Amino acid sequence: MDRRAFASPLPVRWRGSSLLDELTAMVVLSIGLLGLAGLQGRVSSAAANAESQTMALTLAQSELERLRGIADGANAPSGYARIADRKETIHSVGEQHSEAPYVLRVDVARFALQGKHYIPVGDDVPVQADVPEFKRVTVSVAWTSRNGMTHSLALPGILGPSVF
Amino acid sequence: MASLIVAMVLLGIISIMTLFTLSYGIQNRRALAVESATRVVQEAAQAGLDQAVQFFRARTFEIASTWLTSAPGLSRWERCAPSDVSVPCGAVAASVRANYWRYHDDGRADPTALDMRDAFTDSTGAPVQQLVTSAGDYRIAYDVHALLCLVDTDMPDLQCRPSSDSAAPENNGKAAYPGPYAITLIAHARLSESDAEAVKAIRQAIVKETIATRRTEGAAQSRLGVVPGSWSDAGGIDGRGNYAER
Repeated sequence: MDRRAFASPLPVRWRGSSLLDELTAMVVLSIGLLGLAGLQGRVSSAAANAESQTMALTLAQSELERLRGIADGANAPSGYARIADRKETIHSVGEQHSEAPYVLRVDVARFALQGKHYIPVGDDVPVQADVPEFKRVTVSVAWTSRNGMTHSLALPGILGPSVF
Repeated sequence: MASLIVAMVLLGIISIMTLFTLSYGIQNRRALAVESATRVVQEAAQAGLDQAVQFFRARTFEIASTWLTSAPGLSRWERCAPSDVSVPCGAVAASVRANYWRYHDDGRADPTALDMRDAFTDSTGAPVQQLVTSAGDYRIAYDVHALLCLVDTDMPDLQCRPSSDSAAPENNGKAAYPGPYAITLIAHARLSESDAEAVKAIRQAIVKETIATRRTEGAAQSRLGVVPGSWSDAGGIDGRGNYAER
């Protein structure tokens, strides 16, 4: 076959690019852009997770501070006695509204001195002013991230009734 | 060919822009993780202080009696040397350091860390040194050091009794010190990641607080409570175990 039959009648510098060139460029650009978009998405999701974690930590810390205030405050003995297990769903922290709700849980274990050791006691036993006692509190916050994964963090605390 | 070159150049420019955004995102994430660990270790140190307060409340009858004797195995307090800047003696000014007593138990690997095992037990009744060992994904380790001050109520600014004082335990010949006392607690908490094979502290915190005896109206005996305003996180411990405040 005579190859010259398919040759362009235009001079080389006027011919422009072939369809193959254009397609190759588009494919390369598309693959690159898709990769970068994926990377960007992953980083933005990680940033959102980190922000959620900070928010959850703020929630847990405020709850622990609130419980400390109850144990040490003016109404200390009755306030301390009221510290008990609880669970709450929170949709906003301060002025920030979160996409997914945070589930805050407070787990309380009470110990009172018997002889030389602290032993676990139930909530039905009344608080006695002359018997040292404390409550071990774990404030945990759980949340679900955008990708559907469940995360949680926990803060520990040891709270005793104020004596001053 | 020209289109391919243009596409590669475009891709290069976008990649550079994306990498800058990524590095900012990664730095931001790292900063948040550090902040998060700092807040958790601070709470861990506070838990150490609070546990120590409960420990001393459980040992009220020994603090200013048995523990002040020089009997081997029973003694828990020893005078701070004026030049001792290690934890806990380094937490008080050199001019008054010798008036304080540091908690000291010769039978322990770290003799100045409180041995709290004989006051606290886990759910099975086994003795535990720490009531709090983890916080979410972090492992927690803390130890608490203590300084005793036998308060001289005759002094207008309530100083600790020096060894030269006739009412000091070394000189009064009594089995127990009858006066009020204060205990300065220094908690040192370390945080490590719970999935780490080798435990390596990623963050640490040191907090200080003072508790003192006080007799409330109508109470049969004085009780130990936290002195308001005594809490501080200004301290630090260097590699040699010396205490210094910022």
